[in-house]
Amino acid sequence: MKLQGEVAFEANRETVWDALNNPEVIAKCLPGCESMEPAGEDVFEAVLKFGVGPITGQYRVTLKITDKNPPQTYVLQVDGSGKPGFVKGQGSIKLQAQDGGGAVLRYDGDLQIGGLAARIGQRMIGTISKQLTKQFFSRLVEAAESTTEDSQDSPQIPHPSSNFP
Amino acid sequence: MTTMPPASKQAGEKWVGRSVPRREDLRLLTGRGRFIDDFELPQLKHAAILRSPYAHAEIGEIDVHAALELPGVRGVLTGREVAAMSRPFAVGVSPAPKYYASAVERARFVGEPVAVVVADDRYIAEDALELIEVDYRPLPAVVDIEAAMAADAPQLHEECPNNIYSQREFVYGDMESAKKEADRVVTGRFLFPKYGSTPIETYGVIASYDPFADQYEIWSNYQGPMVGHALVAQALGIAENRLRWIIPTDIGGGFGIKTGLYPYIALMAMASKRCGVPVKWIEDRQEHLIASATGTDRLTEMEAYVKSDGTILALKDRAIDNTGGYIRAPEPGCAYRSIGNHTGAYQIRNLEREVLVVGTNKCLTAPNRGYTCQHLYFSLERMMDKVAAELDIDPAEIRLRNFIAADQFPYKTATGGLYDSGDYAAAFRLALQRFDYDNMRQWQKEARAEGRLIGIGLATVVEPSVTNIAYVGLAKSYLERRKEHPKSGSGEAIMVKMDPLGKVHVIAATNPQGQGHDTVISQVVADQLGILPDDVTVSNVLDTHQRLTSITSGSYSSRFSSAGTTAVVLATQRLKEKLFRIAGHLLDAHVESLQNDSHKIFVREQPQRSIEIRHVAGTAHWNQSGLPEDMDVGLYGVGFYNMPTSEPPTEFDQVNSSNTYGFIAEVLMVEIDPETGALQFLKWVSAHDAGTVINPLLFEGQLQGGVAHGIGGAIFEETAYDENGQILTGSFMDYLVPTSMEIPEVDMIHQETPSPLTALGSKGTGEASAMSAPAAIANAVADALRPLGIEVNELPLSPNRIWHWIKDAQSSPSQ
Amino acid sequence: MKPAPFEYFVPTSVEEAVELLARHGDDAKVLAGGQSLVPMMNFRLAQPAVLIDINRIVELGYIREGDSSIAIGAMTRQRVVETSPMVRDKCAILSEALANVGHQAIRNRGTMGGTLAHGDPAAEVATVLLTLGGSVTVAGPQGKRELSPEELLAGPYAAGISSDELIVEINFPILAANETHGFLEMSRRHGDFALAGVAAVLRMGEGNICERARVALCGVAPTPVRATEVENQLTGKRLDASTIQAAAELASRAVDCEDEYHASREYRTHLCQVYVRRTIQLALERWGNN
Repeated sequence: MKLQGEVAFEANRETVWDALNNPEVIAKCLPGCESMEPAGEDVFEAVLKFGVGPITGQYRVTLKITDKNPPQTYVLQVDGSGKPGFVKGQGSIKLQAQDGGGAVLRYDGDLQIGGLAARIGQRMIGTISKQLTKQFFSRLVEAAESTTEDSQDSPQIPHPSSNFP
Repeated sequence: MTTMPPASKQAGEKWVGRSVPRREDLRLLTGRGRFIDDFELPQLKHAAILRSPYAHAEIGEIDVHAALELPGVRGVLTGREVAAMSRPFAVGVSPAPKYYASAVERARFVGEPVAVVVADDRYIAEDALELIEVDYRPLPAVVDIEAAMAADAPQLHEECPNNIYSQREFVYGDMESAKKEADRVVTGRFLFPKYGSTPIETYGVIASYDPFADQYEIWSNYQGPMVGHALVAQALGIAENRLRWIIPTDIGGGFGIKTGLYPYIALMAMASKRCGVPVKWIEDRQEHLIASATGTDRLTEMEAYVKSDGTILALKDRAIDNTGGYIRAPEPGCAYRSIGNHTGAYQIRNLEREVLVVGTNKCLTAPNRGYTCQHLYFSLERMMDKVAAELDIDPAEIRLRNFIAADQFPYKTATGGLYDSGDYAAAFRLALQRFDYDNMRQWQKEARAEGRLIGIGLATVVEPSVTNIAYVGLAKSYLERRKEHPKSGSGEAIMVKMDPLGKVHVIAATNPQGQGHDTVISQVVADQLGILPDDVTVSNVLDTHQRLTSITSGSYSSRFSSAGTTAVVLATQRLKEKLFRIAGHLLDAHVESLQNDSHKIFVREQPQRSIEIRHVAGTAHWNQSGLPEDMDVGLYGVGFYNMPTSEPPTEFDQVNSSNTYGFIAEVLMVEIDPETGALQFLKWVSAHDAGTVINPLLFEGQLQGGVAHGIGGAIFEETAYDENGQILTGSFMDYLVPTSMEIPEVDMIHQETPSPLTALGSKGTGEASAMSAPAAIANAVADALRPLGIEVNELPLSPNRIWHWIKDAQSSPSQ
Repeated sequence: MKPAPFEYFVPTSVEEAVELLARHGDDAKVLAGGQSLVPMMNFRLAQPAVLIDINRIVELGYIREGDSSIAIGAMTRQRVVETSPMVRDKCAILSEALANVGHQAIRNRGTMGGTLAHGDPAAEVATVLLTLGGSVTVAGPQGKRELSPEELLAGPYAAGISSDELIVEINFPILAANETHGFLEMSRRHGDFALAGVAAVLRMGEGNICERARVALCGVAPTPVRATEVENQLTGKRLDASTIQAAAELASRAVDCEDEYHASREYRTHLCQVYVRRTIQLALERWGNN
């Protein structure tokens, strides 16, 4: 199935980019994330436990960030498996700066669902995937806005993933 | 070689032909039926199957230690152990891909067994499944028939390049002349979907391995053919007499689907041996929908060479059947089993065929009700309508012009089929008349003028029954066949015995799945002996250790009403002969001078010279030396009947693939709602000729069921996959079996042209409209959508599909 | 399939049930009619560690006629509401919608609260509630609170209720004398989930003028939704074939779904427009017959 959308940020593009590449932020945004460990360069392994409606699941997910083109685009690969089935996806994330500050994020991805969820839950999958995606991005917006507020109050602390010369 | 005995004249046709209520119903309706799940054994444990979630994946390590530690778990059997304990199943293609009861190094369809857990109960077994870790390495999957044969397709088996399991070409008659003589060629391309029959009872197996006797005892609701028994014995590497199969009397529907059970029987047999306990496995509905059996999906390309008067001179076709991740017996029957009736009800003498059987990452197949006759007739009957449209001839007329005539029976088809009897034009005319065809066409014209999408659909098909297993030989060329032993036949065995007080008991193994065999047996025996059906008791259990069976035993391809009942007649006649010989001996009268009524045998011209049947029986049991000198002790008759028309294929690849051939004509009318694509049935007449109807009540039941299955296949049912081989229809939410609300009233009319080949003149009737309704409904929809220039070449005809066709037609400029 | 193991509690009062929910929260599911939950549990798609069976809470089974609304206890069986003469008289749209919920056997067990708590996108009862503008009362550790249908349907699968809350009562406004209604849905088979369903309540004035329109859709978005563009297009207009058609076309704006095996997004959107039109027409005909 296709997952596409647009998310608007008040925070500027660089802040959003930083958030998108910050494992702590990603962990906070992933719905039901119980743990996330680095497993290589731009590779993370997370354990997610969530329920949307009747479907509850515990998933082990591998996230891979590739094709980084800061601060504009990257490709996110997701490989997850759990009791209800497995999930495999790839999506591109594009960040565009808005005039007057702010940024717009466009995501365009393909999600393959397999296993029990695919064969029983066809009519729920679309709704649930969209819901989880929405949750992820609304938390990302929160995270980005709070980073902005923080950075306005406190001195800039160099962050490993930001582009300092 | 047995000759066909004449129908009894003395007792009169009292019970055959009557709607005797079913004796099975009382026990089934009051919960006293005994289905596979009702059987228990001491220390019985329960199995659950771990199944591949991937359509195509390499299987690495399977870690079962956590599962084994769960309290209540008795053991786990993995695929590699299955490969160590068994051989691949034999199948009629060469080279053959290796098919075991479980995936071994690779899973090739979603749902393929990967491991089996045996535990104290099913709940624990399923808990244990979740604790098994399998290292899957997914591979690209292919689900489309043509994509599977392409050069860059994922290869499922190294033995079968381009995923082709079987491929052959056939030519019958004189194609060249026919092509020259033709005025026109009409072409068509048809896609028939993959679906099943969803019997209300799923698969069930109880397997018990006895290590001391080195013997297996199996209970299962298998439906035959008993070839499956030989296949499992071979796979397990044991002698057939060490594999006892018991098939309970009560089975909740087969429809050909329960032919695909035998690999699970092997799997559970191995689980029992491995875990040292008897094992019961009852398939749940989800398992059934993803990994039991369905019909094949098929792509057909057809060319009809026709004259302008509508005569079909020749057919050329290429049909590609998809049997899924593996090919298992009785496939490749899908491609060859209907060869005898390939030209249907028509006098088409010239045929060129290419058949292919391919594999994709879908679940496996079995002879789904109709066994690809529905596929064949979908193409053939759509073609008849296409030819009619192109030549501007009425579709009813074109069929009448091409029918085999009543005086041509018995009719040998170009492909070797031997149609025993029929009068197609008469039956079809009956149906058209009942439908009020001419007036309906007129009404359709008027309705069309108002913008309504009304369509009339026809289908006229030959219903073959009693499979001759010889057809499997067609998978190999004549030269290859010559190297092997020939195969043929359709045998059935019945014993009728009489007890000391003169009461009759029938010992049968006809493997009913709800058709009412016992009721029919009692009617037939009653007629033969001049007694009441209620006086006849029947025990109908197939047990390879306690019954005589043949390799073709089982209930499939509607064997029972023709081969089965003939065996009943034979057996009863033999019992009767013995009774009369004993009576003649005791009365000192010639056997030919004797006659009987329900309780005595008497001299026809001198009725006072009589003896009660129970005294005759009493003599046979109590005073064995009072019997005629040359007579064996024992009062019973055995009929083991094989239809004489079941012969091996000729060197020209002609074979009588079935034995009796009935006829069905569908005439129906539909309306399509252009706004929603929804289809409504307005009128439906269905004419059936299955020879002598033994029990009209049972017959009607078969026909109604056939209609429901036919509607299912035409409009609702599909075992659907996405492009990654993930099955989308894993529950009844998405696999749509029509409910009673979706089935219209069908006006059933009958004609009887008795078969000269069976004792009662009966033919099979079990497939019925399952094979003709999809074609007729497709023709009706095509007729309804003709004003929009829409072609109907695929199923199911969901509203979504129909609406998109209408929308595309309306938005593109007309030609 | 067999469900995964679970702990099982049978409270006999709302207080007891709420206390259990507070204790177990996210790990618990409430068992009412079980017609949605139990199949999900048997498939192992849902694996609640705790099941709180509220079928013994007798106090939750009632239908009470009020001045302006009907109060229905959460455990009242759908079939009881469907066959209630009072409901048919005062709120016929609910009776008609209920006839589309699964099959009678399912409605014999399914409850009014259960269907709302499950929150299926194609649920008829929630759609009617949304159209009528009723309310839902939930009980939680902090006491009772009332939710509007919009609050209940804040997200798919009853996202508006938190895991420690229990639906106890639903209020359906009574239809006024100058209100007409319609409910239609399209499904593949009798009793199936709707591909698209429409509930409409129109307050009518003189000369077929529609004074107020409330139109809700089910089966075409993550939750049942109001088709506000349709409503705005109908309000204040004289209803005839062309105004209805023009309004129905706007139903596409409320559709938010993907291509699915049974229906493409395009087909579903079109179906929605057709059914909005047919439902409004039905309501109008009904008004004309009165």
